[in-house]
Amino acid sequence: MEFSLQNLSASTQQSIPLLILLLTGLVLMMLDSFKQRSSLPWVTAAGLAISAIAAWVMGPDSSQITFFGMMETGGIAPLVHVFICISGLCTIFFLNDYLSRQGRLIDDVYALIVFSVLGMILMANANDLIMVFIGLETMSMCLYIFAALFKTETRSNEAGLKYFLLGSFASAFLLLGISIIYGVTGTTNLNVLATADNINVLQSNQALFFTAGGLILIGFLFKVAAFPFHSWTPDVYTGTPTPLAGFMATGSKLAAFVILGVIIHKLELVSAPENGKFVTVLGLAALFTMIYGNIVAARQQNMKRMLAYSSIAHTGYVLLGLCAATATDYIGFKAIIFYMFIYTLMNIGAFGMVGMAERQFEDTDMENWRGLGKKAPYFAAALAVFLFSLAGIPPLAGFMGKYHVFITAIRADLVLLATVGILTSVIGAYYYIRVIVLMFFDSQDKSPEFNTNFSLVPVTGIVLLVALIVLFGIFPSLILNPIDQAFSVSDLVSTAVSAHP
Amino acid sequence: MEMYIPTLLSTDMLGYVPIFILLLIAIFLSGLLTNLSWLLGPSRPDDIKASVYESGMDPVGTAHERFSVKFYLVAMLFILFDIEVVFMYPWAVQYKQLLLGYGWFPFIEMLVFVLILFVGYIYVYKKGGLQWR
Repeated sequence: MEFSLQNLSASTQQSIPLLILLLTGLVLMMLDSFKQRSSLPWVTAAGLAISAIAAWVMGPDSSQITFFGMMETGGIAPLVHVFICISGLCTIFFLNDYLSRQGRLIDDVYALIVFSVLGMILMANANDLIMVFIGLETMSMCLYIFAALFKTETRSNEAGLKYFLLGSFASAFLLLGISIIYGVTGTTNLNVLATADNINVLQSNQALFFTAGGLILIGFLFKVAAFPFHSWTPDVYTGTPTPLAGFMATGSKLAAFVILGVIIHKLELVSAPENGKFVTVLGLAALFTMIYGNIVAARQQNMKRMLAYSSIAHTGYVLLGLCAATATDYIGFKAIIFYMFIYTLMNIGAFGMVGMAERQFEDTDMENWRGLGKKAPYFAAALAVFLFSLAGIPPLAGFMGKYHVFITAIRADLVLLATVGILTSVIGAYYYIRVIVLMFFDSQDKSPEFNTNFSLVPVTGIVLLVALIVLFGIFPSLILNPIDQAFSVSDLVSTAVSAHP
Repeated sequence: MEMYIPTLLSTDMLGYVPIFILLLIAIFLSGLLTNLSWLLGPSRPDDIKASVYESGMDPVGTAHERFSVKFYLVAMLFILFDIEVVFMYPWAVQYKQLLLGYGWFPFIEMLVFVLILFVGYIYVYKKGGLQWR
């Protein structure tokens, strides 16, 4: 890596979107300290929006490694930056309303959202395993606090402690994997790792290499809640404030999947002559995650737990896409990013609406939703749109997401996995539509009184998200084209193609 | 695999062999001397001699005493603001070279770092983290 002034000035220029986020976080801390609480959501939203626009406008045309080899700033990086910022923005719509309904005005949360978004971006766009780890920890620290945000509630404490202990444990696995890679090759830089010398060293140390790869994989499979490492998910999401649980399930997973894809790509490059080992592991994880998540979600009686298990199921679909992308030419990587973006919109919408109804129902038991279609038709209809989209019903964006993931899998000859995916998503349709049936087609009216006087901000958020889901369902190219364009300038695909002749 | 451990021993670790020998001698001598006094010295214990602290107060209660949770916050904040100095040492050692290579940039960089910590300090102060309530 060249330590020159050119590199420095390019890095300084490319750091502006990230610096905007950092500055927003610091300003939010100061506003919070000096009790300017009414401005907090607006400043957060403005900071995230400006940072996203800056990243999009300033993003270089070609793939670029800056910050002395630490970060990737070209290629898909600006797009990922924008998507993660959008995930934060969607959460802001519901957060203030939720906190004031719960009577817990915890103002520190806004700065934490911005910092966790910063961590996610640093992780997703990293080009060095150390940077990956720093980004992951920045993100995770904020998420641990989100889980334990209501510190006087037992359930929240349980969520925070479980997430913290298990999360730190998983981070340790990741770090051990990184340190073995460093021990063998003397570098943590992902680009340097895939050069001929290091590939030779790693291939002559097969045992160490696969141990390291496996440990890194475990760290990430935990963060995305894939099958053998999923057990924290339902408890943590139940204890976390509902809109923040939606944020946890989307933004952090998007970032983790992007960097996991990049790392798996490099590891596959290294194990080139007899590759396919990581694909097999990913495929098995995808298979069991899809089956487990969907079947267990179908048995849930609590909305938040149902959504938590369904988020495990969706992780399975994305893992399937990742597996397919790794097995072939990496073009399939587009499907994952598309899917995660769509999933962000619909999942934050669903979690946000559950959060809006939660206070009135006292809990999130599914029985409370019975007959809601008559009392609050518009509210129930909007929730139905999110659930239909999560289930993957055609005119909505969720269908396009699933379609692209499964078509990628079929093109990669993973027909068995794709079949299992489609079959399990039928089970998925059952438990999403069950809620809709409860709301609209159930004559027994047991639900308590429902007050439909919602404040303007969350309602705007719902309308916007519903509109976007319908729009992207009918015109998916609005998102697919920017993704295509980003990949056409990324060196990810071209090196992958040359590595798999 | 096999090329790693032998090369490490033969070149880099060789310089540590005298230190290792010295370590062995130190362990042997200190073990010998402490045990010699126990072996050869006369032993006539009484109540006062056998007490934990011969000329002090009687030890009362258990050592595992409960203490205020507030200490944890103070300790955590101390570590947080103490760690920043760790980053400043390598920066200060390398500063001359950095100045030649990059001009004022490293200085401004460190100012930004300290500024971020300062914002954190104001936050802690205003939130009452330093108050002993």
